[in-house]
Amino acid sequence: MSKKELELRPGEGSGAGEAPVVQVIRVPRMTATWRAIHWIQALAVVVCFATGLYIANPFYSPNPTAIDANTYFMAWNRAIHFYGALILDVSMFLIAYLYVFSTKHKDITDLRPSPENLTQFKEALLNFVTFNRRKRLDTSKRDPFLAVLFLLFHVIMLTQLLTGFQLYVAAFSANISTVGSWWPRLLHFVTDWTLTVFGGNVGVRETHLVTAWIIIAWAVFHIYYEIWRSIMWKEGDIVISFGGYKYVKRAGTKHD
Amino acid sequence: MEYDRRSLFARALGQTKQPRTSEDEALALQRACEARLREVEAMEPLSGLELAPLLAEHKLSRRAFLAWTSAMTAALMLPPLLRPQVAKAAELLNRVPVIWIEGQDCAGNSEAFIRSSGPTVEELLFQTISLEFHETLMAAAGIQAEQRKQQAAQMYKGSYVLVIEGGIPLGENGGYCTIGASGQTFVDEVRELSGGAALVLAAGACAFYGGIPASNPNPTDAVGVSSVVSGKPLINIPACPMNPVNFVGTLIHYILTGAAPALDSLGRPIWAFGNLIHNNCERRAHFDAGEYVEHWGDVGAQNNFCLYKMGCKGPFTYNNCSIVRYNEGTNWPIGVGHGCIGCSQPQFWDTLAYERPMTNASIHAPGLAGWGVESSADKFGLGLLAVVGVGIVAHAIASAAAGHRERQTEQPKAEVGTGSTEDHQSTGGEE
Ligand code: HEM
Ligand code: SF4
Repeated sequence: MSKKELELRPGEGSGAGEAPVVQVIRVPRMTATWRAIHWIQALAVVVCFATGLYIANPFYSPNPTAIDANTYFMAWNRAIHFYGALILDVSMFLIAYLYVFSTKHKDITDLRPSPENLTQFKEALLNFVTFNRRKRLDTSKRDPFLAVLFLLFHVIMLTQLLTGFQLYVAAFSANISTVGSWWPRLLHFVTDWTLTVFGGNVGVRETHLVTAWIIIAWAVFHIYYEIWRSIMWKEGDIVISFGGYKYVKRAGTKHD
Repeated sequence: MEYDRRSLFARALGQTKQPRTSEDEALALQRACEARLREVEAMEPLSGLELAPLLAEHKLSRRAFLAWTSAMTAALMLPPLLRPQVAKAAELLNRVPVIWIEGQDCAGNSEAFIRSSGPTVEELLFQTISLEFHETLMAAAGIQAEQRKQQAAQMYKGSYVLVIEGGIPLGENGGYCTIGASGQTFVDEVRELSGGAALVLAAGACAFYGGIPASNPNPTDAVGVSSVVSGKPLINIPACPMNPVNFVGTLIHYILTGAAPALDSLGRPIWAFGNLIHNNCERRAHFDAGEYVEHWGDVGAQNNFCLYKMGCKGPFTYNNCSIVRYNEGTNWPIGVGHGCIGCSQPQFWDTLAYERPMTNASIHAPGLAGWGVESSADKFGLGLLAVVGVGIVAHAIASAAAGHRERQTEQPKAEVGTGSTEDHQSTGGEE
C-alpha cells in the first residue's frame, strides 16, 4: 500500500449543510493484470467444471440414434477441458511468480504467519462471524481473511493441477508425445507420487472429481463474501474486480 | 520413441556401445539375442517334446507358425528383423524348467491355455515347456506329486522359472490354504520355492495383488506375490485370466535375453501393459463422437457404440487385449459388447468391475458409512454445496439482523466532522 491514491468526492448522505465533508478515498486494490488473471481463471474454472462433469458421465448425447453423426462431442469436451486446464495451470504459475517477484501486484510476505498478520486475520475473521459488529481492522488495507481464503484456493488448485496432469499423462503411450518425450517424462516425474498418495489411478480420478466440487463450493463462498463485504462495509468491494479500486469513506476535512 | 526397444532390452544389449540409428540398434539387439540363443540351445531339452513335430501333428502349418511369430515379434515391440530369433526362442522353450503352483484361485489362468477350441500355438508351446510340476495338469497326485516337486526344485535349483497362480492368504498363519498331503501352507510353499527360482512369474489377477479372494472384506487376508516374495526378479502378468500371449511372450523374452523385460511401476511388462485399452479400442471413435450404448440391446449396442456409459473401464486399464485379443485374436470382451472390467488393475473387483461409469457407481467400502465410493463423490460435492449455501443464507440473515439492531441503537451517533481517521469501529452502522 505504498502509493495510496486519494480523491476528493462530494460527500453523500451526510446531511446538507456546512463543514462536515465525507471524503471518499479511491484505494487501488487490483492491477489490470491481476483483474485479467482473475476473470480468465473464473471463466476457465466454470468451463473445466462443466466439461469435466461431462467427461465423468456423458449426460448428453448429441444424436443418440444417428449412426454417423460426426459430432465428436466427447472429443470437444475433453479438448476444451484440457485447454481450460492449461490456461489455469499457466495462470497459476503466473500468480506464483507475481507473488514472489512483484511488489506491484502481490507480496508473498503478506502471507507470512507473523504475529501482526495473525492478529489482522483474527480481526477480519471476527468481523465476519460477528456479522460486522466487531470491526477493528483497516478495511482500506488488504483483507487478511481473503488472503487466507485465496491461499487455500491455491492449495486446492494445486491438487487439481497435479491430479489432472496425472490423469492426462496416464493416456500417453510409451512416453511418446507430439512435443517430444520430455513432456510426458516431466509429467510422470512431477505427478506420479499422486498415485501412491491417492490410491492408484482410480483414487486420483476420484480426488480430481471431489476437488472439482470443492473448487465450486469455494467459488460460491467467495462470491458471497464479496457481496457481503460490499453490503456491510459499504466500500464498493464488489467493483474491485472490475475497476480495480474500492472507495473508502473517510470523515474529515483534510486528508493525509 | 527411443524408449521401447532400447530400454526394454537394455540388459540384453549389455555393454554394447550406444547404437546410433535404429538399424544399428536392431542389429546390435539381434547379435545379443543370437549369442544368448546359442547358449540356450546348448542346454539340454528337458521336456523331450519338440515344437516342429507337435505343430505337424496338430496340422498347424509352418505358415501358421510364422504368422504367429510375426505377431509375437510385434507384440514384444521388437523390430521385424528379429522374427527368426523369436521363432528360434519359441523352439527353445523346452529348455526352461518351469514349476507352476496354485493357491487361492480358480485355475483360470491354466485354463486359458488349454481350453481353446483347437490347439493354439500358445497351447502347444505350453506343452513343450518343461513343466516339472503343475497340480492341475500332472498325472501324479498326493505324496508322489509332492516328491516330484521337491525333486524338481532340487534338480533345477537356481535355474527354474516359478509360476505362481492364485492369491496368497496370510490370515490364520496362512492356514486358509494348505497344499498337498503334508498340509504345508501356500505362503510357506511360495517362500520356499521362490528361494531357488531364477525368475518368478505371478500369473493372473490373484497372484498380482490377491485378486477376487482379496476383494472386500478379504476374509482370508489374501495378498499378491509381491507382498511375499522379495529379492527375486518378479514379473506380474495380471488379468482375469492372464492372456496366454503375455505369458508366452514373457518366457520368450526370457529365452532371448536371459532377463526380465522392462516393467511398469506395478511390475507388469511394459510391452504388454504399456497402453490403456481405451487408446487402442475399436470403439474409440464412438467414444470421441459422444455415441454411447445407453441400455443393453439398444440402437447404440446394435451399432457397436462405445460402452463407457455401461461402465467400460478401458480408460483406466493397462493391457494389450484391444490389440492381441484372446484365443489367437478371435475376440475380446469389448468386441463382444461388454465393457472392460479392469481385470489387470489392482483391486479391480472392488473399484472397477461394475456396469456404470465411475461417478455413478455405488460400491460399498468399509468406513464410508455404507456410501458408495464413487457416487459418494458427487453426493459429497452436492452436499458440500448445500452446506455452503445454507451457511451463506444463515450468515446473510444474521448479518442483516445485526445491522438492523445496530441501526436502532446507534441512530443518534453522528461521526462526521471529527477528523479522526483511526476510528472505523462503527462504520457498519453508518447511513
Ligand atoms: C477448476 C479446475 C478443474 C475442474 C473443475 C476439473 C474437473 C474435472 C472433472 C469433474 C473431471 C471428471 C472426473 C471423473 O471422471 O471422475 C475431470 C477429468 C479430467 N481432468 Fe479436470 N478439472 C480441472 C482442472 C484440470 C486440470 C488443471 C487438469 C490438468 C491437465 C485436468 C485434467 C483432467 C483430465 C486429464 C481428466 C480426465 C479426462 C479423461 O480421462 O478423459 N483437469 N476434470
Ligand atoms: S468401449 Fe471402453 S475402451 Fe472402448 S472406447 Fe469406449 S470406453 Fe474406451
